[in-house]
Amino acid sequence: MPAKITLAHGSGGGMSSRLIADVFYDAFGTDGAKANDAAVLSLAGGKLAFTTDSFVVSPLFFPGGNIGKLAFCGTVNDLATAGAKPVALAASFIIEEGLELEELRLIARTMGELAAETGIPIVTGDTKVVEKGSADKVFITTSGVGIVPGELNYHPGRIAPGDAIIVSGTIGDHGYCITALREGIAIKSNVTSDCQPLHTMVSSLSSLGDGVHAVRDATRGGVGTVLNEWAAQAGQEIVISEGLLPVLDEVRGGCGMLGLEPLYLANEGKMLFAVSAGLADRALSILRQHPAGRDAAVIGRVNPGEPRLLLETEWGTRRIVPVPVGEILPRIC
Amino acid sequence: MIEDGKRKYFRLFRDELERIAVRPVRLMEVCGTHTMAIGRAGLRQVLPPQISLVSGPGCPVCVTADADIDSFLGLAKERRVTVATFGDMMRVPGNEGSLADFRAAGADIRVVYSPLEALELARSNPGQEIVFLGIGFETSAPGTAQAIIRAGREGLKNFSVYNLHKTVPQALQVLLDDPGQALDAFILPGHVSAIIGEAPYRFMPEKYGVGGAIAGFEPTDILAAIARLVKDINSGCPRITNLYGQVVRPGGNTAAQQILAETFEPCDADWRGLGMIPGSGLKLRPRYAGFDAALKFGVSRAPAKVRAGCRCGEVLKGILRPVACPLFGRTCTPEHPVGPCMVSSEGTCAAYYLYEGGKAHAS
Repeated sequence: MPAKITLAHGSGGGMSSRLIADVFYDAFGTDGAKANDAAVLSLAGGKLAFTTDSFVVSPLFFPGGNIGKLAFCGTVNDLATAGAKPVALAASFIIEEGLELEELRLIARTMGELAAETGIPIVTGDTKVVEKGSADKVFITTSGVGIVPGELNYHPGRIAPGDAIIVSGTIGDHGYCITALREGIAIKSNVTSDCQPLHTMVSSLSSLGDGVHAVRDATRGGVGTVLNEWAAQAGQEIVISEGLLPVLDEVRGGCGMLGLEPLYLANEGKMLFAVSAGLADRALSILRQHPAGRDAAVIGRVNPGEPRLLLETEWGTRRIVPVPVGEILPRIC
Repeated sequence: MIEDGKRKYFRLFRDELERIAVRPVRLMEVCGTHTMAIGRAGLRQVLPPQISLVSGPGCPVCVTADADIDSFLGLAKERRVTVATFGDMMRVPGNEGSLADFRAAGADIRVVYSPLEALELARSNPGQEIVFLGIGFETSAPGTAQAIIRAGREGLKNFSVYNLHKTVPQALQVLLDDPGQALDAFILPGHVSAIIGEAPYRFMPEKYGVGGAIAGFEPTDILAAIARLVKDINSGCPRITNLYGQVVRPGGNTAAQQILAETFEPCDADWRGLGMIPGSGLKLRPRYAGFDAALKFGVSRAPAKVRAGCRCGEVLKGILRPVACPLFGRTCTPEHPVGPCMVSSEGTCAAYYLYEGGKAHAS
């Protein structure tokens, strides 16, 4: 029988220590001898960016990633939206009694590999084990700190009429992938999650300085929700064109069948940018040189007007894109 | 990206409508999927002002009577059963809350995409009673019928259906009998017609002098249907035209019809807004009565308590535009729906709220 997490793993005693050393220190490349309750970081000058996010997803493993990858990339990408260079992450795990140890190990290893690839270490963390039924397998909270270089100030309040709205690639892949898995009986899908770290793609735009006004990762609620929030925060109208939205054919077709809107599906590896109109072409060519931005596209613009999000349909008409209501897809990110 | 061909035909039909719309016509799109497609593509913006589209009773969730909603909510809440339902039903409000509310309070309610998934739940949980909410028109009734037939063959004792299936043509007759309606023609539902074919609509031109066009769901398909209907109205030759021939055969889907006939027999059904319509319901035949959840659990139909001020009924008949309902966008929103027309993804009020700037009207 495969080894499973038991309540004793959360007792704080020897089994807890062994779990932390065998699974997490091993995966994250931590030197246990130097471990302490708090990590001490040396930071270069600049403003400090600080963020946190919790991750619950069912299933834990999906094409293109797992909950560990989501938790790592999600927090890295949140730091990136402020223009920050991520420095270090913390990771806390709430584990349901009965989770297979090997699954936890796979999740931790994924996070460790990402830390090694990106050079962003996981420097502190915590584990708790709860009784069966009190959590769904494993929940992860990651927090991160980063340094915002120079005078960069990405904020939706800076969005101004004339700005171009750019998305870094095809929309809805992650949300569609998870839906297809969850509703496996109804559809077969080849779409993989787009989950990936985007901090280097965002920092490649730092050469445009002040010309980049706002950056957001279009996670839960999708592009439609983020752009509605931007319109409200900027107090301007945002108009996007249906024909310009990059959407994989399979996602488009499947959404038609399931009654879903790609605009509202979650992404885990796509950024939205609001950029001064004159810099849109340069931003696009920089983004497209980055592997995560190959399909970047200008999808709309900011107009003076009442704060709302409009869609120009491919039929030459216009409609409001409302903020989605209620449960779209339960627990996908 | 839509194909250039579709765009070209879209423009052709739009230009044709500009030429042929010589007098006011009132068309009803019966089907909720059409209502959503019209809103989503912003079709009203390209129609000549003489053409008005009103939405009909073709959203199965919306036409479910209050009494039925309260009855199955009662079943979900009070009995130790697992309710399996299409996602659309989750937020429909009853007098004591919705399925989503009951789920949050601990009731076992599962969202499924097909009745066969509900059947699978019953197979894999033999100790648990699974009740599928059978809601929908001729399009979804064959799926329910198939699940019941299989359950019968497999001798499954823990599967049953709370059956509220309805049929469309009888409701159209009620609308045609209503002197207040003044409808010139119908855009007929593509999916329902794929099952029943063209014949069940023939009474419309023959008895009432009102035509219809069976249409697909692309914006171009809908414009084509409108152009066809306007031409027939202009020439005074009402008829039933099938413009969705790639999906709808003249005789419909005979295999599905057989399954329906094997499992169900017609009965009277209560429609929200339209009232009791003779012969518009589908009742399980006696040999399948063991799968009728209402009989199995002794559900008595709760007396109807229509929520104060809710005018979904008039909206469903196409008499009242959603924005003219005093609750629309004020106390009744997709977040806090008062009536089912606001909650269903195919509901007329939801379509207006989402796509036609209904929110702006209301505020």
